[in-house]
Amino acid sequence: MGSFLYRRVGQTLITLLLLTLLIFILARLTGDPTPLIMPSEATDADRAFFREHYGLDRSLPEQYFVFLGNILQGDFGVSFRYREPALGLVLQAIGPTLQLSGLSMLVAIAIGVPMGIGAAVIPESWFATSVRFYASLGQAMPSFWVALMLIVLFAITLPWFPSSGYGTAANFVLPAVTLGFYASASIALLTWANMTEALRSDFVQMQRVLGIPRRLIVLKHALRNAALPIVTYLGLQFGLLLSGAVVTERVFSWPGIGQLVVDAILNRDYPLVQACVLLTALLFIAINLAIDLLYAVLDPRIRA
Amino acid sequence: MRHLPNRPGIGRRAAMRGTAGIALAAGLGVPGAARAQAKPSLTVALGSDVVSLDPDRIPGGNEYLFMANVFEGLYGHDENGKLTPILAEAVTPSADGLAYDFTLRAGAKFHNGDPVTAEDVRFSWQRAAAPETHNPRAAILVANIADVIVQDDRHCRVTLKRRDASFMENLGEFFYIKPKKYLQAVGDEAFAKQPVGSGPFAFVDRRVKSFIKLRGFDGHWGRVPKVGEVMMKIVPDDQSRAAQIQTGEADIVCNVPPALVMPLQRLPNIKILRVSSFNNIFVPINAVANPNLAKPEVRRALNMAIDKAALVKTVMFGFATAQDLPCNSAILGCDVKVEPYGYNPQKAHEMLVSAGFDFSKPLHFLGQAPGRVPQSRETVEGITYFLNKIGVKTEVTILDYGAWMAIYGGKVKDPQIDLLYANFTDYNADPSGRLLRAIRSGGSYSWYSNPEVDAMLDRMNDFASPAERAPFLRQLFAKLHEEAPVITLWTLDSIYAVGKGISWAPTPNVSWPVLWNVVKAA
Amino acid sequence: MTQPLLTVRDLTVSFGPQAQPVRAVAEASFDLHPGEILGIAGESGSGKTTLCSALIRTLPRAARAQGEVVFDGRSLLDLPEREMRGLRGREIGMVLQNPMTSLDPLFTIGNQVNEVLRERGARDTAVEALRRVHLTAPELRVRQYPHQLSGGMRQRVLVAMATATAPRLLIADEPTTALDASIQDEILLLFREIRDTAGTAIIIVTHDLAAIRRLSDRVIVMYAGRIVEEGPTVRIFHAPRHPYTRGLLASVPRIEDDEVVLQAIPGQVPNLAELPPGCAFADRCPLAQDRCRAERPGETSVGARHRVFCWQAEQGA
Repeated sequence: MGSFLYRRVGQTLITLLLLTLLIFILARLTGDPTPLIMPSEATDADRAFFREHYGLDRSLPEQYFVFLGNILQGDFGVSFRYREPALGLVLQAIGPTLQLSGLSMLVAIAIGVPMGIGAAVIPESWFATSVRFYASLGQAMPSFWVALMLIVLFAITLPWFPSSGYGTAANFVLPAVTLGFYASASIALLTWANMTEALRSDFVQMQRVLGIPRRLIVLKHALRNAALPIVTYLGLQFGLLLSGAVVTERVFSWPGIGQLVVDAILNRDYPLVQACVLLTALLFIAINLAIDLLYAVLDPRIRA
Repeated sequence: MRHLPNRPGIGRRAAMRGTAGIALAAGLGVPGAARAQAKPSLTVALGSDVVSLDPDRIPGGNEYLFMANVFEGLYGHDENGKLTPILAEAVTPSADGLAYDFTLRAGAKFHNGDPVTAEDVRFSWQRAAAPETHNPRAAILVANIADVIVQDDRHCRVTLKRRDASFMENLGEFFYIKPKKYLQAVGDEAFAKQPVGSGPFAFVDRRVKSFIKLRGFDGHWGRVPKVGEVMMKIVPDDQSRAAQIQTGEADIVCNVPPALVMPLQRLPNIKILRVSSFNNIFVPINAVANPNLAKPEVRRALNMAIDKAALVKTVMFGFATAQDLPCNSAILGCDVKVEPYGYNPQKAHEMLVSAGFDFSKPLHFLGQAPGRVPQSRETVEGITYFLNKIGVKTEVTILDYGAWMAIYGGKVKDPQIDLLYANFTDYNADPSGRLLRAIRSGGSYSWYSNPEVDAMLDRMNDFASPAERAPFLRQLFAKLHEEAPVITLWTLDSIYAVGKGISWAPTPNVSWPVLWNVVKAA
Repeated sequence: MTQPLLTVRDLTVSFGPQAQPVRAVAEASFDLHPGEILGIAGESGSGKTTLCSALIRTLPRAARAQGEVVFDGRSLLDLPEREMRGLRGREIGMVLQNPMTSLDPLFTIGNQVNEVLRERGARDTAVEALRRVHLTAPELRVRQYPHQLSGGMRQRVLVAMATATAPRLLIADEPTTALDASIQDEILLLFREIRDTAGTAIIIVTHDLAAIRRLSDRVIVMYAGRIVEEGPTVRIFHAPRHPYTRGLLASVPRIEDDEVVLQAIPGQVPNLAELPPGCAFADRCPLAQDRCRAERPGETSVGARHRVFCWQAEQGA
């Protein structure tokens, strides 16, 4: 287990290093930030100062090494636009994003997994058909449309929830349902497929023959065995949600990472783009690591 | 820091909470009575966030939605958009226009209780003009101040290096008075996080891209707001912002796109308010790089080819004011009488032919992607329709704001671009700021070059007073009308949606909500 | 003679369209007495596994079972599923053919054995149950996972689980096929011991004739879904009366001098969907006559509790 951990951490560090190079290049590919940051009234002297102050007049390799050196000391630079440390802005935005992603995952699991199990256990029923219908809907409906529909139904027509914004528990409901709905569709299908597989295994046949009650076969044995690919997928989905459900964040005015990084890109705010992407990548890697560890907990064969 | 941005507004939700509140108050007895006397709080939904809270670090016109409510200059504008004394109560300009004696208002205070004195005026100039501050707008006004002489607490003399007829008009937007004691005590960084001004509203708190919280300043010298707390929520999506007024979560919604006015107007509890603004929409013509466009007759013909009134009606749903001159008629000097271009496609075509316009070469038209200016794309489509109708071929490219800005404001103007969609706001009635940047050769947004016009523009402010300058400005605009460096279109109207209990007259000729005169029924 | 524990009469399992059914098992009839070990021999496709599934009612939905199966006075084919579930794992136990994959890889041996013991109401502890099947170091094994045990050990665990409640009948489908030769013997001895100590009747289904010879008291030979011969093990192995049985016994590879002799039965197992009207073995049979091809053979008794389905049974004794 120890060597497994070391290897994974080592891989992570290399990945991160490559990532810094990639992000550095990509950010600069978006274009020159000067006309966007400097208002029209600025003089040439102001512009020159801006470029010099942020090192934009130095050569690219030089800029990269300065950037890398700063990161290693925890300094992600100062946002061109906000004139505040980029790291602070990102950390402020990560909170709402993590909260929303986490809640959406819970919603998705709470809906999708029982649906998948039910459909696998009674495959020819009206229940299974409705699960299939639900999954098609969930995968087909674009999230912004779902978001707007939910706002119209449950904020405007029925004034149950706030239409947008961040602050109270009630604010979480509509965005979490929007994101959770889509994720729950694919989780339902994945669970269904994996549970069907698991229910066909030899050991499940054995347990039926031994007379183990169905409840234990489905919920203890088949589910645990089906869980492994589902857990991987959950990790992937969570990562996707983290990197910014941009559209949902925009519709609900959710002050998360998605909005922050898109605005930063549109404003050519290099330090902020870099900080957002790097920190999101770090989170993603951390989640993958956690998933790997979860695997080892769930499956004793991996621990060997 | 987590705050509760939802405040009861008008609507079902508010009614539900309102009755519950009354019941609770009745149950508790006395506290309910006290609550009824506090000023109501106001919720405003905005389309975009501000970047800087520091008046010496204003990167763009968007910041005024904050600055105009929290800070003040010596002079400013009243609820009709006219120049009026603000922190000063009187001014005596010298005959040569190089010195201005200001008498400050007694009783003007900063939000922390400190009185506004001449020392603060002097300090504000020094900070705004200091090279270390890197005030990107210093060149407009404060860089031209030679000195601020403090005569006593309420009197100071501002001397200029050169005559500047735009000085008085620009005081409200380019020279904010900041508290010297407070700033020196807390330092620049802390001031930028927790600014203190003298305006009708004091800053309380903000969360980037989420909200800005203000509080009505009861100690204001004359514009004490009738509302208590103001929560400005940032809601970038148009539909979501419109939903805020429908659910009653917001009392006022700003930046309502014209396309959403009709459905909102039909709802019983909502009022639509509109005022004209100085947000100019026009099409710069690359007269420098394209020989086809070098002749003024060609450019006038292009103006003639477009039915601007029709576009206002169809593309802007009527929420714009068509302009013949490159300015709103309330701009100084823009009331000059000229022969309007008119809409005459036949004549336009003839003029192009006799000027030798090459119809085989399409004009490359750069547009702006939707999101920042309402109907930006549709406007470009409308213009190309009219141009195509008289045989002028066009090739349209739509770019996102950043890419568009990189070209529009680029150091070297792209010779491949012939026409651009542009929006440029005049912050007040003085035209010199914009014209110098948008028309004078070498200006950051200028695609035009004419030495005669340049000479006129360079002299534009070299007058002792606005009155002395007025005839010259009219001459200048007449010349610009003749030269037609741009295809003029219109100025946008600011559209607000307000709830039933709100009575408010938004200040005209500004593109931001000035909130001190909002009255909210309890 | 005691009452039979299990009586099977004319058991038929059909698939496919009603008009032209494919019979995986056709009109099988036999008895099993308490404490008896019955071996069912045949190649793959002979219907022996389907027969076992039919007995414990684990056939797929598409299958139709007809006939009579009486276990301990109860008609199994008519029993409601709930009662059948009550029988499985208590009075009727089964061991399946893939020990490597018949245990849940994610739970410990102890967890799984305890689960069976608890759900089926046995009074042993897991360690005791494992000791009963001679699994070495049972205290260690209960904390281990299936992938840490060899095939033979896993089979013992499965046998422990199947016999936890001392069932009256134990059905073992190819219990030793997936195991090493050295282990196979031990498992067979285990079965013998279970019969001796608990009086459990055992049906062992396999194509491994040596295993049947070692373990069973009586043998049933199946071909193409039908029983072709049934009798005491000694008689079947010394004096088989059905040509298929003879061919089967002769086809076991043996060493003569320094050669390995393989004597396969010529031809192939017929397609169950296209069976001839007569004896299904006729095409491959050295003694086939016209009558064999035209008419399906009836039952002929050729000794004490020894019967055969062949028109040529009298010959070649």
